[in-house]
Amino acid sequence: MVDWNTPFHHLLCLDVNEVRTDMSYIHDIIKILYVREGYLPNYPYHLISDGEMAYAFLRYEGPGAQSSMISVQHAGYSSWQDLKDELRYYKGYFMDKYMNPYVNKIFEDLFPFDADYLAAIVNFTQYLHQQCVEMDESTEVVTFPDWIYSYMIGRTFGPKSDFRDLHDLFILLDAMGMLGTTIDNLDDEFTAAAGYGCYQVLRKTISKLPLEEQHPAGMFGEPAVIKYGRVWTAI
Amino acid sequence: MSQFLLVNNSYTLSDLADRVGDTNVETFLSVNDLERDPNLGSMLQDRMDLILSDPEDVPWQRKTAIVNKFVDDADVFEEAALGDETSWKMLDKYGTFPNTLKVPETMELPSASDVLGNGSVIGKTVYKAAINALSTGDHTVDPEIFNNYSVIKGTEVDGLPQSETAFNNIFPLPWGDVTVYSELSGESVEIPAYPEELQDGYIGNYAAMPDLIYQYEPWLIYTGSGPRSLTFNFDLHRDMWSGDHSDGSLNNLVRFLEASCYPKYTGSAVYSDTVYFYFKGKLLISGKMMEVAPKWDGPILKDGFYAMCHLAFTIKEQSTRTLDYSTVRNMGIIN
Repeated sequence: MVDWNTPFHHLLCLDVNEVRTDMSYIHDIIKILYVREGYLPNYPYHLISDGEMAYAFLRYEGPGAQSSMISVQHAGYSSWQDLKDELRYYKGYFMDKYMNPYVNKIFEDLFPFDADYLAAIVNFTQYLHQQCVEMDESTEVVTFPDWIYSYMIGRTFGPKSDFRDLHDLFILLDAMGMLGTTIDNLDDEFTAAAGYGCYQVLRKTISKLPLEEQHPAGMFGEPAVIKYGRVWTAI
Repeated sequence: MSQFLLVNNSYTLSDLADRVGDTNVETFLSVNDLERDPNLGSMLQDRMDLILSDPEDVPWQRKTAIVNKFVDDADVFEEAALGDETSWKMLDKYGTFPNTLKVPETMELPSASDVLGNGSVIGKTVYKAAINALSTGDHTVDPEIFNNYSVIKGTEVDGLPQSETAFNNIFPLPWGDVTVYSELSGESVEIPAYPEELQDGYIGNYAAMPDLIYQYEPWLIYTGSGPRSLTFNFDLHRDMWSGDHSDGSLNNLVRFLEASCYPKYTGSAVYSDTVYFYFKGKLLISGKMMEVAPKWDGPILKDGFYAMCHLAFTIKEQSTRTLDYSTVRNMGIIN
């Protein structure tokens, strides 16, 4: 776990002969972004470890440790308020940019309650957090798959994305007819239904991956959603 | 100069960096005693909630001390003086208004809709009225003291700031293009408008010879030319000079022209005036003022007189130069 009271602890622990292998270009970009956004302290990016970067992306600040993925008992869920309760201790860039605005949208849009979908949202968040914990605790160099980097750098389309990008996403989702209702809206807002549509597409795309690469499906406009939609409309 | 940057509840650190530049963000946070956090707006909102929980109002003596710091910026002074109790508490505790960030002294943001602080010193009358209001009675400032009813003060049209004489920016008045000079007084007066129309007239006078045998038309003998007589018509408004209709400028013009209809008496000598009408710097006509006929109408203004004057005057030519065929043939459009 990162101790924010001694922000240079990783640097101070380094042996002068130790080779810095935990730096990669995408990590540098993410660190620069998080420093600018305020999720990381105002230090040069090369003095920030990958663990700190992952901690800034998504962390758990609740009682007890959340170090392993919890098998979600969705039979216990009865309303969307349970979703807020499950996610209330998660903090970080991912929560501010994606999950919290999306949860608020679910409430605003009065999205029909779906226990399975609620469990999927919690599952996805916990999976991402688990990946971040592994990066933080590992002594080896850890890299994420590209779809996680797309979240970390803010390029996945979500509630805070540019309306022009969202419009393109909604056109593709409507072309695929994921929900049977129109997702595109006048204000090009990322509605709860848009998230559900992305989730449906990602379930299809992930099911085609090799078993070892499969992961919980997200509910945002990942690059895989765009690719699937373009291939669908091209056929 | 005290400047403040207006923010909203969803303002983020990156919004601030976009607005003031990455290198200035730390200075902004330091001046406002804020920690580096992604959600600046919610931090300010938390600060406001803390302020709201404080039941004690700010004493009037402290309020006068606070507004005295803002005398160099009239808009900040006004914002502070007219603020509610929450605003006073924010100013007292943090030195900023609700939902604003104080701009560091070392920086100056360009004037914009989200920036308070125009660098314009508060007027003495307004300042005294505000301090007096804070010091007496119920210690609240009436917004009326900041209102200005002057007809001279510039107004905003379509959001664009105007100069002191607003109509000079809306209607281009042709100052200096139309001038009348009086030889008797040695003075000239400018008319801030073109004549409504210009009807000129040159006359040739001939006498007819008695009937001659074998002539079926009369034989005309030249007797003279002219006099050329021009009547000018102007539509003028009393506000056209300075915006203040009580400045007497239109009356000065009318009396100037009317006086040219009368001579000056010096003992037994009678001196009549010769007027010169200049148009775009060129002499259009010179001669005697035959008639000046102002016609007043329009709304009655605050001083009890009409606003509009339809001014007509006639000048009969007494040319300063010999007019013959060649001279008139080679004249320009004006003279």
